[in-house]
This record gives sequence, structure tokens and C-alpha cells, in this order.
Amino acid sequence: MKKCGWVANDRRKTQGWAVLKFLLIVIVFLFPTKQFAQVFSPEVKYASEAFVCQCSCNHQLSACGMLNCGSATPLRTEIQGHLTEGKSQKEIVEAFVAKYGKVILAAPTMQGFDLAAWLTPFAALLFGLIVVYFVIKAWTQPQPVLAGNASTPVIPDDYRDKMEKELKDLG
Amino acid sequence: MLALVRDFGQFCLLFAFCLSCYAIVSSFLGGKLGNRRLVETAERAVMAVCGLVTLTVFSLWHQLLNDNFNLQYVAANSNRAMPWFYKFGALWGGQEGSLVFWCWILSLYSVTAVVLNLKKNRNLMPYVVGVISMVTTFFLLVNNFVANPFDMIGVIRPGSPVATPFTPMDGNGLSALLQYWAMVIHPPILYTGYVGFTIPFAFAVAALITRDLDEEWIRTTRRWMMVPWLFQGIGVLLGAKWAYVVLGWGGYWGWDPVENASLMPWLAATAFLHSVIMQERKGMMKVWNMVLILSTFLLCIFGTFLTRSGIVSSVHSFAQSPIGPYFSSFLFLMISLSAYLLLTRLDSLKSENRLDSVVSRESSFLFNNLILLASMFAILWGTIFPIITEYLQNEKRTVSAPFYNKVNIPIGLFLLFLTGVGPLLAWRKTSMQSLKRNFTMPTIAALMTGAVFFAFGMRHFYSTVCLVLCVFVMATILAEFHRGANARRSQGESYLEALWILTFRNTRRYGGYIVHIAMVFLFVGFAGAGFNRDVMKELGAGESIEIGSYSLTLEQVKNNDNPNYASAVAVMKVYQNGKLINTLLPERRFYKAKEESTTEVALRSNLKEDLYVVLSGFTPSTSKAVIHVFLNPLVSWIWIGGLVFMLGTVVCLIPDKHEKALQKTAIPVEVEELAKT
Repeated sequence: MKKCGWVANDRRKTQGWAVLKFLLIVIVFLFPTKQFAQVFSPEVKYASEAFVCQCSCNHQLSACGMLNCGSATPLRTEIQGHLTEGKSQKEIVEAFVAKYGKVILAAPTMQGFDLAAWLTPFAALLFGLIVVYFVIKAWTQPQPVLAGNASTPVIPDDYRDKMEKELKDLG
Repeated sequence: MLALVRDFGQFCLLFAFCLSCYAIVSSFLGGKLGNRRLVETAERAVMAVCGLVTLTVFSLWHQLLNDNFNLQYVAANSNRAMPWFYKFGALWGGQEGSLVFWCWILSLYSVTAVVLNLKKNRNLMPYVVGVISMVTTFFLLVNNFVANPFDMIGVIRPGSPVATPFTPMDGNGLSALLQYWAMVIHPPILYTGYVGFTIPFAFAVAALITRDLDEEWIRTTRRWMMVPWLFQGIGVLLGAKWAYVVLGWGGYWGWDPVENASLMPWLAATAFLHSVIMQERKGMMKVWNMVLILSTFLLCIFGTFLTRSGIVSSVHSFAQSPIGPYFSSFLFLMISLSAYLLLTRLDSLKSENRLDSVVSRESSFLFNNLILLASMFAILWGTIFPIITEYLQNEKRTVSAPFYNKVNIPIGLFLLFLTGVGPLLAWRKTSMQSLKRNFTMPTIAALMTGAVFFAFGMRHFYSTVCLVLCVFVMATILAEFHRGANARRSQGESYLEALWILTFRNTRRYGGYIVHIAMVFLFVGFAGAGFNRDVMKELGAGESIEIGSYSLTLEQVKNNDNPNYASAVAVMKVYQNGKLINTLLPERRFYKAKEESTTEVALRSNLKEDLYVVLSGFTPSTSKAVIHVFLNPLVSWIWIGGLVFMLGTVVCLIPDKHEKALQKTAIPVEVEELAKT
């Protein structure tokens, strides 16, 4: 037996997530079938499409369907707050990036190193197109003549005469 | 009895590992020395490994079905309250069990490969068996020494250097997300795809080692590639169905790393299944085909490493454990082996033919491969970009749906266009007259469709372009069937009879067209996403929510309870234009053992749209039900496309008259061996 204790997976979890999980368990145990959900407006939904939920569901904040999600619920509430203050989408994005870092964004930005995320697939496609162009060009070129120049018969004249004579004799 | 079966399972797993090691040595040695008996013992060892892994799997099932919570794996992935079929499915619900399951499928494939090649490909088989055994041995190594499903729970008591066995009263239960009918069949089907790519890889490596790179091995490999390709495709679609019905976010594809990992090898295999035609018919693209076969397998291992090592976050995090270094080492070994063999055999892989014209079927295959690979690369790049930024900039990034959609939609549309164009181009050279004859009607049909869509106010660019291209591609395919059937009708056959005979006379060609029809259906389904709508509202009894032409009224909320989960069910009356048409029952479940909550989506589905209802929960202040309703157009076409895809691939797998003729003329192995002497 190499491993002892069956809670090895818990080691990976951070303390913060453990606290959140504990709170979630308390809530769900208290209200096993009254499971709380958040109603959010189309404006909040639209604004939250720019962000990704941090609960490892990998969904945009607008799409996370987890009940009482420890990440999506407070983040949507925060967006609602920003919208109430009259902030624009751009300002909300800036505020979120300043607070949580670029990891909160659903897609890389179009600046700095992040630009590589967007450009690389198309650069690869362009490179592939160039390769295909050269492959087609090489494959469509006429085959080089193996010996001598094109006007020179490959079969020497004396052999040709001999072959023709033999063919005539056969006929 | 439980302990006995557990120890027996453990023994079988270890014995299988030893025999698999033997199979590697004896097969390679037998191949090198030309010793037929050594090779035969290797083949028998492969069969014995299959038997032993089968016994291991049955032992583990026995432990799961009999609630032996003394095993870490059983305690972590099952509990007493679970129905028997989920206990059965718990075999692939966690890391250790799913790796044993992987190994089992691989061993079944190995035996099939050995049995089907007892009288052919004999010069390749020692190395085929050797390579398959290498992969099997790796998985058995991980299963025996890193992620063993028979590990017991132990508690270290103060003053004691060894752990004392401990049996909890109940287990943690299977992840709530996995307690859904499709999850009992989705992983086995997907694994049958993933694992099956090992066999073409083994044939490719064997062909490279022996330099026996003639037509026979590529014909064998194509068939071996097509079977896992079919399963992988179905597995991916079943995964999408699961995501659609269980995750409750209204979509079917979230570009999760695990989803991406399953799609990448499928795309590479799709590219191969196209370019292999070039090799079979023209003796071209030999190096490229080799690269694609090797890449498909390597992408399977890479995807498994990526998602099981925990280096990227995923909704499939239940399958993560510290096995990453083992997978990365194995991946490095396989890449090195493949690269070495490929680079040292380039001289044997030269093209035998040339292109006559740029406008030809041959060129279309090149472009098709380029686009498929570009799509695959974009997915791969998006999946690993967070790791790259974290490594280079020490700051994490997230790459999710907006990135993949922006990059892959234009690539996908171009691929759809090529699906229509490619098959209508002639081999060698396509004349202007032929272009006009083949493309005039489909182009007119597509343009007219576009005009109608525009007139009806459809303004979503990508969806409109996608639907227009779907009409174009469908018209080209139907025209092909029509032309073929018409030609046969001159021989006195009825139209339907002509279509039937036409298809089964050339199964590869017409099966391929059926798969293309499936792709059109899939793209029709994808195009619908541009018109998705949703509305969310808190409802008390008797209150309604409106979306499109539908009105849904909450009648009541019922609470249910059973040993496995407690649930709340919203009874929703659905009205369309004031008329009651259905009652939908969206549900929220709370699984007690795992302390997880899931949604059970209620669906009203037809060819036009899905009415998708989610009970999101209840408001804390008023205790009203929160109902999220989605109106998703055309989604059904995706599942229909899946069925047509299965049909088309099965047709492709049926040997047609050309293949039967080839099989008849194949030289028997005895004659081959006699000729060698």
C-alpha cells in the first residue's frame, strides 16, 4: 500500500476554496431543496460575457449554471453594482482586470503578448498556405529530363537504327 | 470473498504488466531475428494480457457493485445509495478505474489486430505487436504503480509506522454530473475512439521500421483508422449531448480542455482519411500521411496528459491526479521514436506522381488537409496558451469560448465550402466546362437561399453564411447522387434501386458523401446558435414567463427525496399561441453523498427549435423558483447529423467491389513466404 488516507485530493485545494465549499455545504444542508439562485438582468448577462467564471467550469460568467457558484454569484453581483453606478462595459472590464488580473477575461486581449494568441493560428494558416503553394508548384512543374538536353534523343542513333531494322525484319 | 477478489484483481493487473513486458521483448526480438516462434509467443502473450486485464476489470466491477469501501477507488467514486448502473459506470468515473478501462479496451483492440492479421501483414506484425505492447505496458505500469484502483484506505495511528486498513461506512459517491444515462455509454465510446488510434500508429511505426511501405499497409491502416474515428466522433457528440442536458447553461460545446482534447485527434484523423485517398490512388502525400497517423496518436496521449495532470483547469477535474510526469515522459519517448523513424525513412516515402493541374481533386485534398490542421492547431494553441503565458509571463490567462469561436468559425466555414467543392473536382485536371456543369445549380441554389434569408431580415453574418454554404454543399452532394442514379437508370433500374446499387457499388465514395451530408446537418445545427435567445425570471405558482411564441406557467414545485438525492421539480405548463401544448418538468437535484447539486433540464425539441427549461434554484428572499428558459433554434440537426455520420461511416467500412477484388487477388501468406525462400 503506497498511499495512506483517502483525502489525498483535498491537498490540492486551496484554503480559500475550502472555506467557500464549507459555506456552500452549510447553505445546502440548511436548505436541501430550497437551493438559492441568482436572477440577473440581460444587461448583467451581456456585461458578464467578457469574463470567465473561476469555478473551473470554463464557462463565461454569463453561462455558469452552477448553483450558488462561489465565483459567478459574487462576480455578477459586482457587475450589477458597476452597472448601477453607470459604468460602461469598458470601465467594468478595466475594473475587473485591475482587481482580478487578466485571468478573469474570457479571451486574451489584443495587446502585447496576448496578441500572439490571436495571430498565431492565422500565421500558421498563412504559413501552411505558402507551403501548399510551393508543394503544388513543385508538383506541377514538368519532370526534368534525366540525361543530356531535351533535344538529344535518349536512345543513341546506332541502337535506334538497329532496333528499327530488327522490327522491320520481324514484320 | 471481497478481499479475495480484490487480491485476485491486483494479481491479474501485476501479471498482465509482466506479460506485456515479455510481449515487447519477444516481438521485437522475433522480428529482428526473423524467429517466427518468438513472434507467436508474443502474440499469445498479448491474448493473455487481454484475458488478465478483463479479469481485473471484472474484479473491480465486483468491488464496486458490492460496495467494498475499503478500496480508495470505490470509496471515492461510489456509495450505497447509487443505482447499480451508476456503480457499474463508476469504473470509468475516476482516474484509476478509467485507466484500467483504457487498458482493457486497448487489450481488446490488440487481440483483434492479432487475430485479423494471423495470415496477412506477417512481416509487420512483430513490430505492430511490439508497439501495441509498449503502449499497453505504459498504461499497466501507471495502473500498477501510480494509480492503482486496488489501493486500500489506510489510517496511520500514532506510534505505528504502517497504516492500518480502514473501511468507511459509506462512499463519497460518483460525481453528480456523471449520474446521467449518457455517461454510462459516453466514456466507453469515446475511449474506444481514443484507444483505437493506437493500432494505426502501431502499423505506421511497424511499416517505418521494416521499410515495408507499400499499398497493403496503408489499406489496412485506413480501415483501422476509420473505426476509432467513428467512435471518437460519436463520443464527442454524446459528450456534447451530456453537456447540453446536464450542465444546464443552454449550450452543448464549451471549449473545455477535455472537449478540445477529444476533438483534436478526431480532426487529425479526418485529415488522414482524406489524404490517404491521394496515397492509395496516386502514391502521393506519403510523408504527410505518416505524419498524420503519428500525430493522431500523439495528440491522444497529449490530450490525456493535459487533462489528467491538472495543468489546465477543466469541468472534468474529477479525473485529475499526479500522473502528469509519467504521461509527459511517455509522450516524449513516443515523439522521439516517431520523429527518428520518420526522418530516417524519408527516402522510402517519396511521391510517385505529380500534379497535372492546380484545379484538381488532388489540390483540393491539400487545401482540405491544411484547413483541418489549421483548425486543430487553433484549438491546440488555445488550450496550451494559458500554460505558455503562465510560464513566460508568470501570469495566468483564460482562453474560453469567445477565442475559439472567433478563430474557428471562419476556418470551419471555409472547410464547409471545400466539402462542397472538393468532391466535384476531377482527378488530374478539371475543365472549365466541368466546373460550370457541376457548380452552376448549387451556386444558384445557395445565392437564392441567401437572398431569401436577407429578405426575411436575417442579419447574423456567420449564421447566414453558414446556412447558405450548407445549401450549396447539400446541392452538390445531391447532384452527385442524382447524376449517378440517372446513369444507372438507363440500365433499367428504378431510381431508388439505382441509388442503392450506386452506393453499395462504391461504398467509399458514396459513404463519404453521406458523411458530408452529416457535416451539413451539424453545421445547420451550429448556425442556429446565432439566433439563441434566453430569459430568466423568478416565478411563483401561477406566474408565467414568455419567450418567442411560447408562454410557460409555473403550476407548482414538487419536492422529492430518495436515498441518493433530494430534488425539487417545477411543473411548467407550456402554451404556444394560447394553446396548451406540453408540460415540462425541469428539476434540481442535490446528491447527498457528494454534496453536489445538478440540473435536470426539461426539453421540448423539434426540427425548428429546442425549448430548454432550467430550474436554476430559488430566490433567498421570496423562495420563488428561478426559471431560465432558452429558445435554441436548429439544435436537433446536430444529433440527426450524428446519426447520419454513423450511417455514412458504416457504409464506408463495407468493402465495395473494388476492395473485394483486391482481397481476392491478395497473395496468401504461404505463397509469400515460399517466394521469399
